Amino acid sequence: MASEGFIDTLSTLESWHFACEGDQSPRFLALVRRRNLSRMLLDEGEREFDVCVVGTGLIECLIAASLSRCGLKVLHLDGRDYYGGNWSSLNYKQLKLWSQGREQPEPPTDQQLQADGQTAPPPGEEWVPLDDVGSDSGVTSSCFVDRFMATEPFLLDESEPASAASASASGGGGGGGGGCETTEERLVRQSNQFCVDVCPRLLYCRSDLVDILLRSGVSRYLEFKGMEGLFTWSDGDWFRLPFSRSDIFQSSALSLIEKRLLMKFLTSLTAAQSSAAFHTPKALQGRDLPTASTAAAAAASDTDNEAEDSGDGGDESGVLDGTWFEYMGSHQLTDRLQSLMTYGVCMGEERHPQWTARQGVDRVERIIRSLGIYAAGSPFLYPMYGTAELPQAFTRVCALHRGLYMLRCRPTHIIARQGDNEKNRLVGLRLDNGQTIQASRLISSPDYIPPPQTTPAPSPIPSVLHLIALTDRALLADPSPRERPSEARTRPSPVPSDTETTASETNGGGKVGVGAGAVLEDGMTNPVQLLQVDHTTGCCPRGLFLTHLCQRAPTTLPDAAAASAAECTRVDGASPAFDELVRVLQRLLEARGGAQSCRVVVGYRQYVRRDSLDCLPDPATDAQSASEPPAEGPTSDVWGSLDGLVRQRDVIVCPDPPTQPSFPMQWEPQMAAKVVWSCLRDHIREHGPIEMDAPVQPDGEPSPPLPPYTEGMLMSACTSVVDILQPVISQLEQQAREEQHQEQGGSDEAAEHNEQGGAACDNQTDGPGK
Amino acid sequence: MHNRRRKATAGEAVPAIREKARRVTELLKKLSKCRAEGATGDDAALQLTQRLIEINPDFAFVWNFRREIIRTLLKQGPESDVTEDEGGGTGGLLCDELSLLEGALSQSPKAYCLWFHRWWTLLMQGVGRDLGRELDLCTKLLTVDERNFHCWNHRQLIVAMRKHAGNTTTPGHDANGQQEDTATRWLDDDLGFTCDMIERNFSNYSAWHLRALTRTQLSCRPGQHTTTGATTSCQQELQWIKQGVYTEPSDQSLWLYHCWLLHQAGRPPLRLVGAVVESRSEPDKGDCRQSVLLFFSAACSIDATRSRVDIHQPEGDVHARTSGAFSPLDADAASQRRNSRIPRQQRPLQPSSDAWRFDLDDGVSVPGRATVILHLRFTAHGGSLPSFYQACFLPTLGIGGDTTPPAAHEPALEVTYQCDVPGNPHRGSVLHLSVKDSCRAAYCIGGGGSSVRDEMQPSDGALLEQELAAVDELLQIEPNCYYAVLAKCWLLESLRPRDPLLLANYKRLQTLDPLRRGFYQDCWSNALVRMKVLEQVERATEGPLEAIDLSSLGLTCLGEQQLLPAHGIKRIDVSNNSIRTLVGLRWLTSLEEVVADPGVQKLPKLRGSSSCR
Repeated sequence: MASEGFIDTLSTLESWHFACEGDQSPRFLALVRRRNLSRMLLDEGEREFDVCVVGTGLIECLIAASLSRCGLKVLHLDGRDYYGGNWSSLNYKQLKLWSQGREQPEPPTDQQLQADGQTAPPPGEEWVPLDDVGSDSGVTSSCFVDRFMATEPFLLDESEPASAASASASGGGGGGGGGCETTEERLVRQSNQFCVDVCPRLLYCRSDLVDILLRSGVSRYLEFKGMEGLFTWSDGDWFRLPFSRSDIFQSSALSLIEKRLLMKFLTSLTAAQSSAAFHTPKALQGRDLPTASTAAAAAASDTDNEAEDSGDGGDESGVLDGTWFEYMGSHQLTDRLQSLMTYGVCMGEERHPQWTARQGVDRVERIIRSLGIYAAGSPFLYPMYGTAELPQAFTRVCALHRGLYMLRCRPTHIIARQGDNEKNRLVGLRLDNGQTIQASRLISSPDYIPPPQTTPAPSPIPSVLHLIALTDRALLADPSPRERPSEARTRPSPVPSDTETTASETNGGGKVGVGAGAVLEDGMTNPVQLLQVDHTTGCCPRGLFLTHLCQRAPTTLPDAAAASAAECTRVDGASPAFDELVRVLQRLLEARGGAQSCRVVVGYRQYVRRDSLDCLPDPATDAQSASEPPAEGPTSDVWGSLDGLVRQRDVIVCPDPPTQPSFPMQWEPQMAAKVVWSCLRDHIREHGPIEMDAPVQPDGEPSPPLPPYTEGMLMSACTSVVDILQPVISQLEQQAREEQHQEQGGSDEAAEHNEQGGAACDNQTDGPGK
Repeated sequence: MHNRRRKATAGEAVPAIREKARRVTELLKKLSKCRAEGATGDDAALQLTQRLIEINPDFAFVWNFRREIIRTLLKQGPESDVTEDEGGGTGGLLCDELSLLEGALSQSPKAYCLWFHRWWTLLMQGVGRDLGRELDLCTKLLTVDERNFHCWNHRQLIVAMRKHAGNTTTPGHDANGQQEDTATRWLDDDLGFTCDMIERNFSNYSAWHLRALTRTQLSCRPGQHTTTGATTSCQQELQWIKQGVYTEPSDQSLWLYHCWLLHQAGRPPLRLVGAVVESRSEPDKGDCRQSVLLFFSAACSIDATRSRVDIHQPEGDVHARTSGAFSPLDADAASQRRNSRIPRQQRPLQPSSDAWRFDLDDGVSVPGRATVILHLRFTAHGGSLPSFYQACFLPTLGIGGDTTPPAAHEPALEVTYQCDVPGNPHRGSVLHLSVKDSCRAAYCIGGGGSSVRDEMQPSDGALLEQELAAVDELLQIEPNCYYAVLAKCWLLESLRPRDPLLLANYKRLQTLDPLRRGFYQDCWSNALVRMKVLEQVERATEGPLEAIDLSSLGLTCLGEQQLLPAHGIKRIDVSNNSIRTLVGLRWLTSLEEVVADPGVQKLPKLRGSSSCR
């Protein structure tokens, strides 16, 4: 049994994890160490869990890792054969299947279902089926709809409609070719060199998630690449947004007056930022941004030597009442600067967004706070080998803390039993391999939970259009460099030794490994946000560029059902909604001199389905209240009983990836924190403090047990995962320090608290001597 | 590193530190024993110092001892001379020294003794030294810390050394052109380097300074730049500064360079600000003796034996070389005051002053219309020349002493000035010579290769007017930027020195930048004195001006240069002001009576009697 599981694991590894051929990196070892049990049957004693998490999206993985780290026993399932869920990064073959809505493996046969020998619920139990919805058509059970894929020759010219070959129908036919390898064949051959993000995310250098990665040690599984530039499209060329004083000094695109205005605007923001940070350190942790009034109050309470600051603060609070555009206008920003700030720096989702001044300032401040931390001059990090590396890294943490992983396995039924007070309680799950496991809580991605039938979906559904373009040329590149005011005569500059310079690199302009940009031109409904990655991120083969184009769908767009039924236009399989994105792509291709260089286009629409976060207590307000949610009696229909379980938080439906047309990660860690907090609280209330046993160290040695996690510890935690994990992390860090201390032979003086991993820990002032 | 907190010594590190201290003490004891025994030529002692240096390079004592040892070793082994056996022997010893220093510098890049030792080693190495390696080292260290002034200094010295090396290694006429090319390429590289550093962070005084020096040297190269080329490059430079100024108007480094570019670039560091022919009737001899008084912008030493005065008369080519004697105007006071900061042993034998008197011999007189040509030879050690001047000329001259002709062994600077004697107005006993554009004077540096530097002329009116408009434009959006207001004042001083706007702006600066209030007040005083003096000089059309009234103006200082147009007056009233000293009156040699407030520091010597009220 075990050997079968191991082989299965290896096949999973093969199909997914080797982005680079011949990779013998530590990632491989980490994966083998993980108890990745796919369709393996569990022994009797192993079937009891505290929590079952279904789906390996970023939010789910963050939850699973946090809960297991706090001492809960976690079973983590995913119906697919790769990690990442709706945040996954796909290789080329997977992308093709995904674009056809075939990312879920075939459902198991009946023969496998007999493994447990049990086909009907025993008396007193109720089996709520989960797999009757959406198992036949993957698309409708996903948050990504309207998927299509078109391969080379991808000609957008209407004069040659016949040459627009479709790959989606034949599943790998590709364009005709003679003896030489067609593009399609080449891409299939290089399939494993691709990591195409379905839902690409950039990390703010100073944010919850980076904090979590550092403090929990997850960062050692990951590599990052700093984003090399943020651009906006203006007048047929890219404009690089300046992110430092010397950027502004060197920028040739800004006029003198604009330089002055921009500097004034940015320094006024940073001044407010630093003074607020000076008074409320919490503000630096990425949430609880000071409101205008508190900032003003803080500034007003400044001492005499900061009299000027307080003047600014008071001044600012008056202006911050207006809209964002009024605020920028009060700083005399020109129209061009206003659009640079709104669509470039703030990554505005829609044309002329109706933000308040505070909202806009928050966005700018978020970027400013993230500057100069890790990547020089860049506020963002991009995970190497794709966004899905993030959830994968968290699965490793979970596995190191007794978490059990099963891929290609999904629950088919929820097992509910009537509890003491005539309420149905979740007691277990029936998996599609026929096994039954015990778990008192189910946390699932909406992919595996049928949507509620009773409440109609709100219309119109806010959605985002994605277009992924695989091109030979960089769509995003630095504008040609400015001449320098040196009197140097023309001397042959040293030729770059890189022999494999692609056409795009020699095409003029500096190359950009990871870059984001915004395009907003007249006639467009909403701005298009763009993210380009090249081979240096390990996401695509050398010489190719992956570009994500995202746009908030205009409100006039027909809803999902109508769109899928709409007539296809020039791009095979694409609904007319994508026309604008396609036009933008076309324009960029033409401007970069390579209208023919687009190889593959994948498009889809993303929307958000219902989650159950509303049923969860709000940690900020409910921390002290002991009120139980109103329990409702079990109803007969499927969703009814499921709904009951959802309301009493036995089943928690995780949210989908937020539909944001821009790429920075914003809400996921907070959403996960809310679930983790609620789960821990409920668990502690039901079972008492969680006994945290010794975490398994990477070197296999057990460490001493930790004190139990009590409700009091939880109550002092706030809304971030870092806060929730604080007792655990600080214990571990303290241990690590003590060990280090002992290794160095000890000392009469108590060790001062060291900074670990670059993350300053403000809360942790207690030294080991106390 | 700047703005970084020093890490507190962690508890567990303490024993390690103690151990280190114990080892260092032990080594130091051994070393002093070595030295006491006089084992300076010992290889073991050298090893000992190396071990100490590897523990802590910041030991000036150890480096001193090391220099002693190396010097002895070099003397001991003359057979393995640098010239005979390059790479091995003593050459190897010095090369090892450089490598050792590189390691030490990476550990503590800001230790004075390290940089000094490196400089010493390079000097010891002589001709065979690898200056490219030094420049690379500087670039590397400056990339890490762009404000390491030790490193900037070192680079400056290397540049001077490099210039000398270029002069000596390739003699011959054909090689000269090539040599010029290499030298120009070096300077271009320097410009590119400053460009890189400035683009990274333009608040870098050192980078701007290097740029100024490099541009000066580039402009000194004959035939490299036409006047128009220099003007365009100056325009380019101004545009570049403007980018920075609009980014950060309150950055001083930019404005300093701006000021240099407009007011100092291409101008001689030492200017003749005025010249006067003074007639004195000496009662005992019964006839009139004339002397030429020369006033300079800074203190200098005129080499009296090798300087001369020629008088050209307009009619005919009468070309009279005049004999006479140079002496400082107020020798005792001037040298005392100017040199008080220089250590005694370094004080020059030559007197130094900013005002010089050339007494014409008996019977010689300056005719009514003539051109006076001054061939002046300055000795470099004289007085406190501006640091800019020192850096620009002195190192280059000082290092290559052995190759320059013997006559120029002593660093010197020869300048020719031309003064015109106006036909009219003859004010009493004083003739004001109009100094013809002293900044266009030809400079001959040293005795060897002479180069003419009058190309870079950004200080022409059109350019200054254009910059004035640009500064005004900036002041419209940044009215409170005091650096811009100050730049405007400097421009006005050059363009319209009698503009009342100047006074208003200096007053405004006092409120904008209260920390430099006194400085602005002095500037205001000087401007006001200049205006008042010129006004009163112009008013006195019929006869010689006898007295100047500067009372009750709120002055805080009196400037020599501002008072110079009034030279020849006998009486001055500076009472009811806040003047602290009357030193500013020392150029007015004919002064007989001074009316001043009580408590004001007196002039050391007045020809007439001074009265105080």
